[in-house]
Amino acid sequence: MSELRALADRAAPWLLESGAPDADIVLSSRVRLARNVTGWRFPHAVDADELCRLREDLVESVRRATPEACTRVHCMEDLEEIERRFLLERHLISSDLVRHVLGRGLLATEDESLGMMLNEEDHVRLQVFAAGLGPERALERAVAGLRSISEDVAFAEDDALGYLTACPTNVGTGLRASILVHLPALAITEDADRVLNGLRRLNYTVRGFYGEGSGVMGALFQVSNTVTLGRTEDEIVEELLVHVRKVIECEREARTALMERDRVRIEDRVWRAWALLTQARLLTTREAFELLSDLRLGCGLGILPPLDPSVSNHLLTCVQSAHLQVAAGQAMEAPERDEARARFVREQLGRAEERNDE
Amino acid sequence: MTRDCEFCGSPAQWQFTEVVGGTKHTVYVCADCARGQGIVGQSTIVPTTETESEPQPPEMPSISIHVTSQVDPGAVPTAPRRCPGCGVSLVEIRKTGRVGCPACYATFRDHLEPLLQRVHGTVRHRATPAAAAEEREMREMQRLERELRKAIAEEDFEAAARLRDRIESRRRSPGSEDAP
Repeated sequence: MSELRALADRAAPWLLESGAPDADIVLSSRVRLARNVTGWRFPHAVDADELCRLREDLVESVRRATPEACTRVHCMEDLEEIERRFLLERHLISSDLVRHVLGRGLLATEDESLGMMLNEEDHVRLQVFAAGLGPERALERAVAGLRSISEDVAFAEDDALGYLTACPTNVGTGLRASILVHLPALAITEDADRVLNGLRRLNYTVRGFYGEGSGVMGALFQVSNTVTLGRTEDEIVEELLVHVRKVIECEREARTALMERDRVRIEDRVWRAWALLTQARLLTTREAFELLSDLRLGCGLGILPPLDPSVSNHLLTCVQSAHLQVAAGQAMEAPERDEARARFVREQLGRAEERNDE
Repeated sequence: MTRDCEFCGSPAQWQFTEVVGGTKHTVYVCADCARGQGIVGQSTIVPTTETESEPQPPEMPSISIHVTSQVDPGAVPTAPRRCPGCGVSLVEIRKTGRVGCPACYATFRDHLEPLLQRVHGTVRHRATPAAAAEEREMREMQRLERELRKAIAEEDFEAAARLRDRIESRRRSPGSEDAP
């Protein structure tokens, strides 16, 4: 666990960038491009030995094309499950790579803002992350990254269908752009469903923090495109931005309305969250997420002293179960984790308060 | 009219109408697939006489299937079609939701296109103009290089020299019209 342990007490550096666009509401933007190597079956139809061989070839190609993307190289079968969960919590790998390990891999830059899953559903799934609202910046980097690799590796494509992927839902651009938004006011006023169902009707996918199949925690929602074919990469990202901007607008309006109508109730809710976060001795993940959501809202509304969004991002990352365990260097049962989580949050908020007092 | 089963490609015996999030889609299946291939397992089969279910929010599309008619009760099952590239059949594709290799897209185009149309609203990729131009440039270079190799092999050195000049000038300024 030694190599990853060094990362466990902080969120990814890119997520800690302060002053990111719309960071009061948008946590992060992510762009994923799926590609497959010509002459190969898709990963699910290839046996483990062959997958290992392909993984080796891909690592070599990426090393030649963009060596900085190979600062971190992990073969999934060499990691313990808890370490794979840790990478999942950092959004560097999918739950698919937590479960299926042989021949699967991850490459990433030092700052974790660019990662490449090898032999997930597709041979290559390049991901680029950016703090706040910035999918267009992420797209530019992702496209440039793949362009340099494609000088060495031929990706499967078709004149009519574009890039070919294992699942027909990704064919064309292989692009999935997703934005992680925090909508506490819309959740409190119970307007979140109405707003998000509007997005769903427009063919966008709305999911919880952990993506596919995950419930909603801490009023965090991931919005992403479903359509990957028939539109250019730029168009997909621009359209997503238009819709997400509307959602941000709705959240801002809901916050203003709440403060006008229900000021005391919101203040009470925020101060209760503060009290629990700074005093509780046991916190479950869900409870921590809900309270940190109220904290973030309270800071945004000026009820609490300002807390840089990067501090909230840091807390949200590090309170997750695998993070606590990797940081401790050992597996922990749920009650131990809840205790460690509560301790971590108390310490971090204590430090933030000291900084504010100075 | 004879239809192929959407799952395995054998002649269809049943026609179903799916209602997904308020949109109708007709599916043709053979008797085996209607019974065994999971479409029935995750869906409710309702006789057509019943009223259509309420449209569902698209995130969790609950699929209700309405049996409309038996299109060809006498259809004889044939061996399922397989992709020459990887040996995967439509049944397997339906089961996993994934195709086996790039060649599957050509092999099962007639079955995949309706799916692509439903998911993406189109079956045609549109490349970014810059990417398309780059692509054309690369293909043109490859074509010229092939011709050059051919000219050298045929010892047509005059043609080879001309081709080498064209390649050089394209390399210096991509996409430019060749000098005469």
